[in-house]
Formats: sequence, C-alpha cells, structure tokens
Amino acid sequence: MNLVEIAPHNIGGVNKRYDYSAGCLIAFACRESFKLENSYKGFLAFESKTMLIDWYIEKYRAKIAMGQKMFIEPIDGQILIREYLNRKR
Amino acid sequence: MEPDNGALTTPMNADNKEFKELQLFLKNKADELDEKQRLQIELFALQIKIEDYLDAHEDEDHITEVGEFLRLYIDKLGLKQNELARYIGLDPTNFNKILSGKRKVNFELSFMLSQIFNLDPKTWILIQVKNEYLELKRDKLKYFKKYKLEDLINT
Repeated sequence: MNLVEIAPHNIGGVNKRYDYSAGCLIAFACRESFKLENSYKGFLAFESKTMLIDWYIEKYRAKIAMGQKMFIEPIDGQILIREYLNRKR
Repeated sequence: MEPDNGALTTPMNADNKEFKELQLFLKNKADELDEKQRLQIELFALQIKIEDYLDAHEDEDHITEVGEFLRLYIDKLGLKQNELARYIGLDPTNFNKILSGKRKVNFELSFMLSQIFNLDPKTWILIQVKNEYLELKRDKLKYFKKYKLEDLINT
C-alpha cells in the first residue's frame, strides 16, 4: 500500500463528513492483497507516518516490521474487511 | 494519535535495500504460516474472486462457469474430484457433469458446497443465474425484443 490519503473533511472527530473512510481504504487494500499470486498473498505492507504508528496498531491491527514499515497479517486483514467493507448499515 | 492531515502513509521506494529487507521479512512471515492458515487464505482469496465476479459489470463475452470456480477450489485446496463428489453424496459422473456445465447446480448442492467452502449458501446459484442471464442476453436478445405491450393490446 504505497500512498493512502483521505480528504480533509473526513478527518477528525465529530465534524467529519464520512465515517470509516481510512478504515475502508485500508480494508480495500487488504482485500486486494488476497488477489496476489505469490507468497505475500493476504499480507499488506506499508510505511506509516511516524505519528500514526500507534494509531495503526490500535485501530487497524497492524504490526511493526522494521522502523516505520508496518504490515497487516492475513487473518487481521480479513477482520478489517468484515468490519469496514461488509459493514451492515 | 489520530491523523491531523490527509496523508496516512509515506510512499515507499521499491528499489532500495530497505524494501528488499521488508520483502524478506514478509516472506519469512508467510513461511511461518501453518497449513490451516494457508488453507484459510486460499479459501478467502477464492471467495473474493467469486464476489468480484458476481459484482462485476455484466459482460456476456466473459462468462465464468460454475464448474470453473469449482475446479479452482478443487485445484487450490488439493482436493480429489471423486472424493468430493462422494462426500456430498453425488455420483462422480454426475458431479463431473456439473463441473463441465452439462448439469445445473440445485439449491441443495449450493448449500452443501457453500458449507464446505465457507461461502454464502446461495453463492453457486447466484453464479449460475448470472451466467444463464448473460447467455440469454448474448444469444437471444434480438428474439426477446419482438415482445411488445402495444402488440398485445392491439391483438
């Protein structure tokens, strides 16, 4: 997952226009990773902004690979997909 | 800390040493997975393939038959076709007809296969319905266009 960016109006607590936009983007990337036909199938790797490492760990089940490089394991990716992409209204 | 601007990641350079190290790290993680976890990943990957097929724009020139999806499960999970047939109480010859598209999947079979492969019970029926619709649209659309309400009223 090279570059993920959300619109300014979707950032922050009560005033954002849409909820779950970051979660949906990350879950979408996890879902795409299951289409890989190599040994990385189901794994999502990315480089976090320094300030967001804990946010990724706590909110999106990510783990640190090395430095700011992080990854989400297949089982956690499936949980995020269920949580954000298969969310029932 | 929550993000305070829009960028959530730093782009990675795929040509440097660090990236190669990350690849190696992930490769090792993948190698640590046990058979059950690998199976789970393959099942989920196949589920996504089917979901994408069912969600895709109607394209009557690219139809994937029920049997083709079933064969993917058989191949990816290393199953034996005849054993699967017997397990669900089907004569292997009849199961082979389903795989080759000569016989249709019924609801009961859709339930059984979905239970085994952890899918929504109607999955196989939905693939079949979508394909039948696409085939009719491809082969007989002109024929159906002759039916008109005004003709019915005027007869």
